[in-house]
Amino acid sequence: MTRFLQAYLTAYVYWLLISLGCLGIAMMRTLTGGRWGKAIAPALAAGIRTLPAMALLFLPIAVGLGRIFPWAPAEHRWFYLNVPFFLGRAALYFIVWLWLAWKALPAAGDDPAGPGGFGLVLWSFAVTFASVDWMLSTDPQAHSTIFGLIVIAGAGLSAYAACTLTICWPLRERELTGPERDVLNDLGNLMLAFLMLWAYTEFSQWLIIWSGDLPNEISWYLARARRGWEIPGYFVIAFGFFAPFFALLFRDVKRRAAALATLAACVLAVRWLDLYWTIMPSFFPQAPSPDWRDLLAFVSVGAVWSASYLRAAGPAIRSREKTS
Amino acid sequence: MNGQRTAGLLAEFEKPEEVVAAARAAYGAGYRRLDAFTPYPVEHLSEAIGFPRDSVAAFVLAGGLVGGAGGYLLQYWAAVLSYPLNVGGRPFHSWPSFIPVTFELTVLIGSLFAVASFMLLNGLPRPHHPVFEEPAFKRASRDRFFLYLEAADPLFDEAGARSFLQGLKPLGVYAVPA
Repeated sequence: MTRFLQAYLTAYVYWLLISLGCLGIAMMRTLTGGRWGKAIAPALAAGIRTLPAMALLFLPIAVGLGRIFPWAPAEHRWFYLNVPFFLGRAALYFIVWLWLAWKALPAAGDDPAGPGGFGLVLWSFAVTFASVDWMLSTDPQAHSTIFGLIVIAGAGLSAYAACTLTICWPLRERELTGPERDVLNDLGNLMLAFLMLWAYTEFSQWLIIWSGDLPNEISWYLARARRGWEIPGYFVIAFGFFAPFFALLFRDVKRRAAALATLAACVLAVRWLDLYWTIMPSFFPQAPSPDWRDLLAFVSVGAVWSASYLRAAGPAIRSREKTS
Repeated sequence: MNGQRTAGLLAEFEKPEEVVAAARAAYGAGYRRLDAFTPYPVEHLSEAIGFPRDSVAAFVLAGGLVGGAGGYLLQYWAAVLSYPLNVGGRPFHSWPSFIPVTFELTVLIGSLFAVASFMLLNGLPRPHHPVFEEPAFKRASRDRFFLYLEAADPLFDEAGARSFLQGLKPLGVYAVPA
């Protein structure tokens, strides 16, 4: 049961970050406008609509947190990391997100009006604290002030890749018109921007901790860079950053729906490995221990998420396929 | 004509689609030294005049490589060869701390190469162009679309080019003095 809950936490964070990223990007669109936003609007709205289901899926974590988080059974109660405060904060995050989702949903449609700047500030605070609670606190010693930003950039990347995949997949066998190609080019460029932002924050954290070389900080990386855990780490660096980075430099990739959809799918896949590498070494510092329950948790949370997402995005996808 | 040499022929069109069609026809007829002038970017026009894939990207890549390698080697030279300094027991060749400067110089030199190669390949700065001599050309920045055939084109002979352009039904065809 403990092993399943650990896998469940990773899977839950993976799928939740796509939904939260959609919410953040929808509010960002309110501030910036742009044809890319109009293009991915149906996908953004569908991503936001998964949030109520994702709020319910948090319940197993709330119930089983004593088995997941090493600080939970502690007799010595910390000011920040203790069960009642943790649950209270989680409730607050979901109130903030669901309220923002309700407010921002029109912005994800044709009318780009919504909470915008103020909403983004609230959203960033909630995601930052949630990332510390649900991810970083699996290693209670660890602390990093940039961790929230890494998760925010990662959420943006996940959501953007998911939206790009949703929009490009129906177009994959179609001859594209000039304006459609230009929009694809924008989507590819923005995915490149999110990719670089995420890599930049990840590298910053590592560079600062490496430079400081302080025992209580490096423990996070010592668990993740040794005893087999360095292999998924290198894989994420190679295929989560360098490969899509160089591919997205080429205009031919950005202007072909099939290529862009494939690339977005690869980015989404490596995002899971990245989160696995971020969370799991806290539980298994001695060696990676892949397990069938990792797959089970990924598929079960993913099934609920996808059902909720596709129900909302389906009509938009089909209408695009038909115009071929 | 009249003893005066011609730099090229300028044809004036009213609509963007017309100039795209005219450019396609001219390119199809074998003209290669042609140019088009419009008040705003017109879709498909650059393809129609046979605009080649430019090599700015190659210049930027070269600039980025020069900047990145230069930035890295500069730090390597300073921290390892010229003035090795023990900082908290870290190796002299502490490559992680070299990355930010390497990255910044990659971007800096790459973008300088981008601007420089863009200017160079476009023949800029260029204060004057023969088409400026034609009074009708002023409307190229307002509401008219122009196609320009250069006399330097091997296919160009003035009478033939003029009748070819007239066949495209322009508002007017003007000889641009050299």
